Amino acid sequence: MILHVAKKEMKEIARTGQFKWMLALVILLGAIAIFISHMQWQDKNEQRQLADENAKELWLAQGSVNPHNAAHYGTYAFKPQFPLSLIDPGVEKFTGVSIFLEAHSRNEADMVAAADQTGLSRFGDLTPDFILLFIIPLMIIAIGHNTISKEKELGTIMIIKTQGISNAQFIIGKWVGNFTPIALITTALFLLAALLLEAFDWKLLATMWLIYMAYFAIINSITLVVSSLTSNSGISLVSLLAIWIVSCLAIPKVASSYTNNQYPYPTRQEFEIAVAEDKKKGLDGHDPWNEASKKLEEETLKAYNVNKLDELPFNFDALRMQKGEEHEAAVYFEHNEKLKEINKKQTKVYQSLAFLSPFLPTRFVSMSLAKTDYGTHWDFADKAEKHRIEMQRILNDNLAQNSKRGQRDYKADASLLQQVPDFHFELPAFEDVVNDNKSNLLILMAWLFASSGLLFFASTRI
Amino acid sequence: MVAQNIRHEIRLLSRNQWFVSLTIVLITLCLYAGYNGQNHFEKRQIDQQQAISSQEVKENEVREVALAVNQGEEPKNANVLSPTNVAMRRGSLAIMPANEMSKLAVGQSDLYTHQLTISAREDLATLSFNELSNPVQLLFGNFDLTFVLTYLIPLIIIAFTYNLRSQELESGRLKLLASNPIRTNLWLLQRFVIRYFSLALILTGSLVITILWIGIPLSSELFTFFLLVYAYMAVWFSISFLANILGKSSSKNAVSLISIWILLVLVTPTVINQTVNIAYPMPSRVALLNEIRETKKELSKEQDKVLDEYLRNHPELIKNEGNSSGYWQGYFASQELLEKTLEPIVNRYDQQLIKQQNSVNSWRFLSPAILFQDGSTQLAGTSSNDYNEFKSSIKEFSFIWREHFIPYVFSNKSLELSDLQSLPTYQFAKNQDGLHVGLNIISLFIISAALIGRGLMLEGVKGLTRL
Repeated sequence: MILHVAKKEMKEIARTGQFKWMLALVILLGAIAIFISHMQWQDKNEQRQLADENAKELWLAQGSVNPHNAAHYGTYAFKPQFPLSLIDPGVEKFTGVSIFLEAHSRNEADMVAAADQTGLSRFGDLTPDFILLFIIPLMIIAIGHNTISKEKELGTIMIIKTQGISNAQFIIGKWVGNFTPIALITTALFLLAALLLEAFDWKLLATMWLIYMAYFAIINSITLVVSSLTSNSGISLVSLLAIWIVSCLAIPKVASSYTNNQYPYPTRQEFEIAVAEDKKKGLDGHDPWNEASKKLEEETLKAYNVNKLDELPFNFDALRMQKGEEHEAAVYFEHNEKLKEINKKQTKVYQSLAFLSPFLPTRFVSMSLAKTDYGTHWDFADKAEKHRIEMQRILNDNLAQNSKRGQRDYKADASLLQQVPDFHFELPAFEDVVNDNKSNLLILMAWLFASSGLLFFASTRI
Repeated sequence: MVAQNIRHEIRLLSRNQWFVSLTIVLITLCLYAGYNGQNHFEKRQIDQQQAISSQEVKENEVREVALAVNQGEEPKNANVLSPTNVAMRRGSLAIMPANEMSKLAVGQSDLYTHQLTISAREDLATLSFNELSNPVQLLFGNFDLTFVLTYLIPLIIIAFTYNLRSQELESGRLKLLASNPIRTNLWLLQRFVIRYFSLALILTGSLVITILWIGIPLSSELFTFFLLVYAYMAVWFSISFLANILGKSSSKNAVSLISIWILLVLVTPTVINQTVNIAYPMPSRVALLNEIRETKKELSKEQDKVLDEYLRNHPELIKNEGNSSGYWQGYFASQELLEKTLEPIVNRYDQQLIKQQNSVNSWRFLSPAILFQDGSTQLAGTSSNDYNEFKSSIKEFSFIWREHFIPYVFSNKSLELSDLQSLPTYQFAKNQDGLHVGLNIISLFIISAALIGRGLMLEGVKGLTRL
């Protein structure tokens, strides 16, 4: 019985002009989005690899150099581009891709793509996630809004009921009939993307596919619920569109405005001033006269049981430099932790608002799987910082061991630069991504159950 | 007939529950959106005030030392008056003040910073204009009045008008009407005009209440904003008018109007954005980083040569032999040379962005949503254009700032109290392009007139007026 209803439904959908138009539009937009994203993805990838190699060359080309000069000269850490960012570029456009690693300061990621675009970019980009998150739900609404109300309007529901079908069977059949074309299109888009992707993790892609299928299933259920509770297709359409606008456009914006009002970030200016203030309070590696330097001097002399700095078995200037570096790193750490605290609170608000719209958990899990979420960006920034600290340690150690106090012309062997390891950004494991998104996944599941529950409730009201 | 029609329509509207609920919905939406805009504005004000006070602390410190020196004292920290310290550590604060109109549209203001300390240490390539913010927030955008007006008002208009003709057609009343000696499309237009004015009235009321609450002073910009809103409404009413004439049933009208909404508000802007990005791609920013480093390295290697070359071009700076070849002189000279070398490279990006903007400007007529959003952000002073102006004026100012200190650096002369008073200061001057917004408004009205004209011309065309 269910199959019969589903088959009939699909046949009917396939015949309507609306569906043909929508299908053509979605396929066209989807294919364009995937191809363009692929093109840009490859471009960006090449650029980043090239820049990475160039940066390495420039670093090594310094040759024999004073280690601290090398530390000031610095180098770059580049965020690699992940394959699934082709499907969901997430917040990539608003976060930078490179971080300058130098002595004394932790720099913010720079090269924000959105700043290189016109104001039009705020309407969104024609990327696969735009099609998946916004357009396909609209397609579901367009083909499903009248699937039950129409039967009521035409009176055919009575005839169907005389065939001995239960309401539940009827509504499940309708559900399957509406969902099948959407599932096919989604799968086709994912397969197309998979063909173009290089070296990606099947587990991630499959999970992403599942997430979107769940999202569409939820929307499909809501569509059928509204269609069966209203007796007029026009009203059903208008109410569904209102639901769509509220969940996909309004709630994310409300969430964003609300979180910003509740837990605002400091401005860059404030942040930098606060860091500079705290830096001043401690040891400055370049300033032997400051209070903290004097204290360090005394402590070191005591520890090594000598009277003069020159009697130390290493260059005290370099030790001071390293201690200064450690102090600065601690200041940066503390201030970034504060930012993270704010971010945590913001994320909590987003998560609690996710109950209001299935769009939010889908959006967050999708970005997370594509590694284009804010969390991945923080991870990148933290790892780059760790790398910077390690780099400073290697350089200062060399200075301490091989030079004398006050010796300005010391130059380390060129091989020192090679001792500084290359920056590698290790990705979080699949299990970690799932763990991080537990709450989003749970909410999505809750949506799935709730919408199916509603569907069964609606089936009793046809 | 007009009077009768108006009376009839007003009676219909006043009996309709719709009218009351619409008013409530609109007022709520506007107030909430206005509240968000207001919050955004206030935060910007507070941030700016904080930036100003921390800059004042730095400036006072320098001034006090100068005062002491002026009174013949010899303070321990007299070195703060050195030109390098004033040019680099004290610096100068550049601010893009918030316009009260920005409460209407957050625009690009969440992406860029509005306060920058200009220091001779920065160069064109290292100046960053990005504000510290949660990128998720930038991705989702803000619930401001421009969002309500751009996205939601068209849908309200569609819901308010999609069946004005088809309902009469479906109930058979259109036949009765057509039996009278009137043009049915003109009759329909009158209904639309009446509804247009009623919605305009409610919306104006809601906006005025919101504006009074959040406090935006009367100005020609505010007046223009209202005109823009009316023009944008007119377009959607006329689209619905034409759809009513062409459409055969209420449900088909609804579907086609919604599809037009999706096409014009959601799809067209993203497609234009994507096309423009492909047509004028930004050169690789990451490649730029290395280019800058290489240039810097080359220059620092030849610092001495650079300085000689520089002094040859600026003989007025050679005051006395001996101090003109110090580290800072070399630094300032190479910094200026660096800017000159980098300028064409950095300009490539600005040029490309200008090309993108120009092409968006010519494509903007394809979607009323773009025309509206563009117009309202321009009026609010939060459009890309405003930030491009801010950026380029900052770049100019940072040249002026450095230039100012060069004579001091080369003569190794500390600044005095009078010198501190004559330091260059930054003032953001908005280059108001009234014509641009005016053109948007006029185009919106022209599009509306064209659609209405087309609708009226369809009177009596076979196959359309199936009564």
